[in-house]
Amino acid sequence: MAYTILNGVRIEALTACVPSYCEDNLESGQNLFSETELRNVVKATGIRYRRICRSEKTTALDLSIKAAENIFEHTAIKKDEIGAIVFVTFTPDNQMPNNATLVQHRMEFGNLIPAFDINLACSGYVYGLWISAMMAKNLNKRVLFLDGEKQSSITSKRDKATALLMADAGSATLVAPDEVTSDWSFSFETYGEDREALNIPSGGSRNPVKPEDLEYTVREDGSFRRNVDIMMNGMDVFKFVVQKVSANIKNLLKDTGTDDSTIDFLALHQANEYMLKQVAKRNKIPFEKLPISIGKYGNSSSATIPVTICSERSEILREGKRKILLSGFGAGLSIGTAIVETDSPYCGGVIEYDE
Amino acid sequence: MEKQLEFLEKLADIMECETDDLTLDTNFREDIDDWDSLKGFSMLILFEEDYDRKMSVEEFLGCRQIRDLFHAVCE
Repeated sequence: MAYTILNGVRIEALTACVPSYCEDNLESGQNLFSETELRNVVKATGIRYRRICRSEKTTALDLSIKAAENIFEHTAIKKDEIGAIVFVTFTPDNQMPNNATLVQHRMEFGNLIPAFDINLACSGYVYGLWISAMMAKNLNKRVLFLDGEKQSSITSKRDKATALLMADAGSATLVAPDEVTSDWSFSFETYGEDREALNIPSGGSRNPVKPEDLEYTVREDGSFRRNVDIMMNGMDVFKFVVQKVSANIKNLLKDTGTDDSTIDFLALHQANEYMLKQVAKRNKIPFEKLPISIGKYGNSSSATIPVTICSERSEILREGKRKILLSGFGAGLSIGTAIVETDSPYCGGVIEYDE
Repeated sequence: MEKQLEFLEKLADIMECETDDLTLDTNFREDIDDWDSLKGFSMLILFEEDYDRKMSVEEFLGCRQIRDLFHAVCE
């Protein structure tokens, strides 16, 4: 697929939510790297602080519900005006049933509503926006789209590749039908052949959890990790992002005839700062148009896109018409890129969840 | 020489230093400030895209001086 166009929808509201607990990489990385190495890792990735759930009991669902409640508290929108609930996550509260049905119950939506999850990692926000937009048009009603991950419980604190990256966050976005809006364009790419680059080896039905999968074992680079933890091949992911993601963005701009000077800002998945700058450089997009939030919050998978918009561009978003390029990329491997226009939606910024 | 200078220029761009700071004798992981593996990844991509030379991470880790990289990629 080159790209697809959709119109007749708008983003009506957007809020992100992170745990109030903050971890400092210069402290938590001390047992992984030498002092100089650690300083360089923090500088290159751009990640000084990460927000993670302190309690085992707090989940991405809790964070995302808090973000959604913020929207209903601060706008005149009523719950019976919501036509569907979509939740993008790979860290649901339970393997069955899904998160979206629990949102319906906990937020007291009526029973006459569809509610389902979509299993995607870092590319998920763009997929969620696409699906929600199609549904909003089909139902002619608002769609509540939640996107959140709790990665801290499946990230080894002793894994050099992931320990200082992964974070937790939630978000809520309201997508509403609206006849007067402009075109949104989407482009997706899938590389299932490279799925080993970023995965959780055990815990699915292919490799059900065995007792030994819960033990921390030493890996090639000296890291310790369980088989139920996220594993990442840094080089493979880096190459994928710098080459494939950069090209995907370039192609969407070209195919849609979009002059990049008309884009107000790029909301890119916050993987690491060095990599994002490589993507911007390859597309000759100035760094001023590349908001970075990863230094404050860490990498919360697909939730980094709403977190970045809410943290770095909420004022600008509220103030009028904006054209934004969003791109999420990661496990799959999978890419989702979109160019959307917004017009003064409610933006609740990044709120905190106290445990 | 020209080939060598161009190589050093490209590495300097990745390492965010001046070309004059680099020679074939430079031990790139230790002599240049702020070395990080992400810069190593960038070099591997550079070798593949600009020199049509795929270098494995293992081979890269075996290179200590810029000379080692230059020999592997340009000769």
